[in-house]
Amino acid sequence: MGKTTMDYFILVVLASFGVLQVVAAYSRLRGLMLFQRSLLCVILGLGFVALGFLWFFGSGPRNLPDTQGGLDGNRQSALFAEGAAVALVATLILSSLVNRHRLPGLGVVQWGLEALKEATYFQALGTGVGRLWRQRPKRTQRSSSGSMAG
Amino acid sequence: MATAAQADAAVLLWLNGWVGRFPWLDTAARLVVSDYLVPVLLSLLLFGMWFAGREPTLRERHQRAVLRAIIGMGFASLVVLIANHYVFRPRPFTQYELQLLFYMPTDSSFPSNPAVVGFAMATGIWTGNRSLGLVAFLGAGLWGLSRVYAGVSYPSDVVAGALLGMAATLLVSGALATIEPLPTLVLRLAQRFHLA
Repeated sequence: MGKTTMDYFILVVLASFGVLQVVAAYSRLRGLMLFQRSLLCVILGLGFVALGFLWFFGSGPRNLPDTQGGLDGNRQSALFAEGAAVALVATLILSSLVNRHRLPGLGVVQWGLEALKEATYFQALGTGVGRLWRQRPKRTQRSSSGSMAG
Repeated sequence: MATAAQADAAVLLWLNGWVGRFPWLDTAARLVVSDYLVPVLLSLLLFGMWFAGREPTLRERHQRAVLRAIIGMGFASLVVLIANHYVFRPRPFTQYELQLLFYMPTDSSFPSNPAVVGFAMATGIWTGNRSLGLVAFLGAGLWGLSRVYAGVSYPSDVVAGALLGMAATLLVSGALATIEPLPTLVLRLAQRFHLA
């Protein structure tokens, strides 16, 4: 992996992580927030975004063609998707750990991001999976004696 | 045609003529013209938009806009790839003496790839949120303008790219509406995993 590739990947991970905190605070998705105070999440998020860009553009020349160390559009798109996915997974794990005792969890099953207003990601996932497990089709037990009722 | 080409070159030469007069402007242009600033910012806007919204209906509207933007950008890029097999326009720095603020791309100047990508994404964002869409259009417009200022694209390359990008995303919007319930199924599946 070239230097620009790694640097770009790190930029995307940091900035995406920051964006998630800002958006979680705005959308009141408490299950994704690392702090329960929205303002702190916004500050943290903007800080990560700024850190990512300052570091990327300050750490080397970036106006390079893809034949001399730069990244073409396709490579950028793929790296962005990968970096954003890493940031999302990191957010889901960290926020679930930080909030596991803070949030009440789900009393009833809710789908979608709406569930993350009252539960962490893994609490919400567990509630949904638990419901699907309880609703699974059960096998009918067959009589094993072979006797016919008279 | 000759008059249009002359006007195109005149605007390019006038804009590029400002290079070197204000160092702060050149520094800002070098940043904006970069292959990484505006596209990453627009992509972050899309990423955040997917999760943004205090109500499920608003979030779903944003998510559909993100799908339009991504597919529209891909479709527009495909059109450019095909077009470049038939149309090749030399870069302006091969025709005129310009002060370059960027490396010398070797692909066709027409249409401007950054304009195609930027305006495709901005149009998708705009279909879901007008305010964010205006911000995205501003970013895409500055990116395109910086390409002319930096001497790597003609103004008509940027205009054509912008129109192509916008048209591609609007076409994709219509196409997605006709293949319902497929996009809805995608969103419902993501909701099952609390990712939408």
